Amino acid sequence: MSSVSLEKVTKIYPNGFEAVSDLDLQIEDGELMVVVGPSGCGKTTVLRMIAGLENISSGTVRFGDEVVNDVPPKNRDVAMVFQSYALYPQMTVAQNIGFALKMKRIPKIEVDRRVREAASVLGLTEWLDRKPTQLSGGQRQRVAMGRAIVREPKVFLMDEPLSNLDAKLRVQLRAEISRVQQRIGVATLYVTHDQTEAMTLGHRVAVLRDGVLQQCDAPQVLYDRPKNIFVAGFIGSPAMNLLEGVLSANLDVLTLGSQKVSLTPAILSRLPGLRQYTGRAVVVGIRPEDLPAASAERPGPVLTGDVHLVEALGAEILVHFVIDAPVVQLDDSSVTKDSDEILVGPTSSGSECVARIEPRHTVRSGDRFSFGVSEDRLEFFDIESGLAIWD
Amino acid sequence: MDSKDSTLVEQRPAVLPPGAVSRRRNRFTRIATPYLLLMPAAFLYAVFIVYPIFRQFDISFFNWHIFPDVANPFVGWSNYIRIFHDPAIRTASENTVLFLVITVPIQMVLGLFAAALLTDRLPGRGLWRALIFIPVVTSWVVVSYVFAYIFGFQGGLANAVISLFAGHTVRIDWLAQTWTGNAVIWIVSIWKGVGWSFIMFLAALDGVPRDLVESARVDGASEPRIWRHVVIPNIRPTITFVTVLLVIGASQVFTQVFITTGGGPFGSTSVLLTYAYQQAFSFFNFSYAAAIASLMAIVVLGLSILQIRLMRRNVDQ
Repeated sequence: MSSVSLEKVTKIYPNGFEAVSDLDLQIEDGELMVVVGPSGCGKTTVLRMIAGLENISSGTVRFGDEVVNDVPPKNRDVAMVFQSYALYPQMTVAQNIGFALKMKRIPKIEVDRRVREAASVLGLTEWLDRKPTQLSGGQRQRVAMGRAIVREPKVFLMDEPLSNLDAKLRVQLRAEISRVQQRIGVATLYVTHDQTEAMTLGHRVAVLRDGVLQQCDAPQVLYDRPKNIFVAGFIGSPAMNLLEGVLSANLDVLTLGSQKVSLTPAILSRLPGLRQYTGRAVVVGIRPEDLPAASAERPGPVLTGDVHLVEALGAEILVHFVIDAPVVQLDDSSVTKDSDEILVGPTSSGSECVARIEPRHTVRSGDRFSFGVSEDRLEFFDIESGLAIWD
Repeated sequence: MDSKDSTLVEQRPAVLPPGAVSRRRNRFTRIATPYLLLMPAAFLYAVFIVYPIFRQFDISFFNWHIFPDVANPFVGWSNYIRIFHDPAIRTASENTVLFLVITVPIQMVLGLFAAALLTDRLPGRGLWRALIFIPVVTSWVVVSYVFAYIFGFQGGLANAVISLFAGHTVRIDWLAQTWTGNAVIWIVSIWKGVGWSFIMFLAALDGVPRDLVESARVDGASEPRIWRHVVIPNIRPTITFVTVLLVIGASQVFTQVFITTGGGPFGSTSVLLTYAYQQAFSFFNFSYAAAIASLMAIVVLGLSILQIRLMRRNVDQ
């Protein structure tokens, strides 16, 4: 068992494409670190570099104190679950699970014992003699995890292991992965593009964009205090609403299009950095759940918009509305290949926002509806750099 | 007028429903089109493949002469019985089996080896692929003549190269000795044939999922073990397929033997087909040649069925 540390790790492919840039990441022993980001952000490359399947262009990868840059994969003692599961089709479940032990020339009796133990942990005992093609997607996924369990590896790597499964199974196996990881108790790197998986599984989550680490924090910290617009837009579903606003000279009013939101001096004690933005334009971030329906019992500033879509989800209602605040212009590099994953959806007639309100309210498409705004839930970002304004 | 019209209108459906002619024609066209399209090929196949096969079986039971006015007496199984007592058949069979046993495995191993080398990012691999495959598309006759020249007694390239290294004139009569003659036949066959198995294996190796190989690598498998446990099992259907076709091809070896050694000296490098050819066209023993060819056809057919069954079993597994 050991920790994994990446120091200034860079990967440049022969065609000149820089997949990972100067990445610093520390995965503690027993920790489950999730690397999340849109497709092509370099997260799988990070995982493959740790496994040794990809050479690193510069930087250092350490397992504990040992530098493993030049150690071949077979000597790294790493277990990996592939997106495709990579089960050997001609082998039975038992042979698949025991393959790594066989490669280590562990006696057959011991291999059998460990395979049976892993199978019982994963509920695979009755399938041990089956071939992978005779199993369902969920069972194959369990076999792939079984291969990792029997290894008792130094490091456990998982590359989007749930992406080929249906939504229900994904939720079920998410819990199972968590359980298995705790059981193995080794440094684990889990790669996904699904931020829900990242939030539910990770002890810490590293958000990657274009090969550059954006933020690495506990899931709740990422959600509550995103370091920049990208993280704010990527983490959370529906995404944080991002609007361009202007702060008044004495920071008592935030202007969003034709609407004004009054601010109190308390905001400065929470975000002292705002002092430098008096009279300037900023990006304002508001989570959908921080836009409740305005009501008499909830005094304070409101934001009014034209509703164009209502999604009743039972426990809550998602209200999509447009306000006339200027559109947030993300710079080119922010527009990723998977821009649909970043639900920042400015429209030509204004900025589109989403609010999450209680189901008791009646709201219809075409209505003009008001939402309460609480200043202590507002996040501010520099309009140029996209960085959060904190201190 | 009215009644006449109405009669016509009433009668038409009973005699000829509207559109019936075109529907019937459509149905005929639909059924007949595939057969019409197949007909030219089927005709050629029947005339040049099916008829000769049956005619060959037919001839093998007679003492058949090419001259129209000579009697062709029925001789029953005697041509077949003669095969089992003919010492030249024994030599030809041994040479055919030896050819098969030597050239098939070497073509497979070399083809697989080259494919394995060239699936990785070797510089200039496109050029190498082309070079290995070019012999496959050249003519057997041309290649056989080129090799007959290379291993020629006088002015042959092989002797010239050996002389250069030996420092004195070496003159080996490659094609006039049993073992060297056979070796030349094997070499030309392997050289020309290896590109085909190479292309087959290249396609098969490209189809081995990269994840499986990498998974085995992470699982601690060395390269030989990755081949044994991951690559070979994944390309097994191709291995069987290549084996079947190479065995069929090797059983029918003819051109390279006919052109390089002509089966000589004294039939010591002859194979079954060159011997049958010689019997037919040198000694005019058409019936005996037909019996040899018929027996060969049965053996090759049996071998093919056996191998295809094995292949199916492998694919199913």
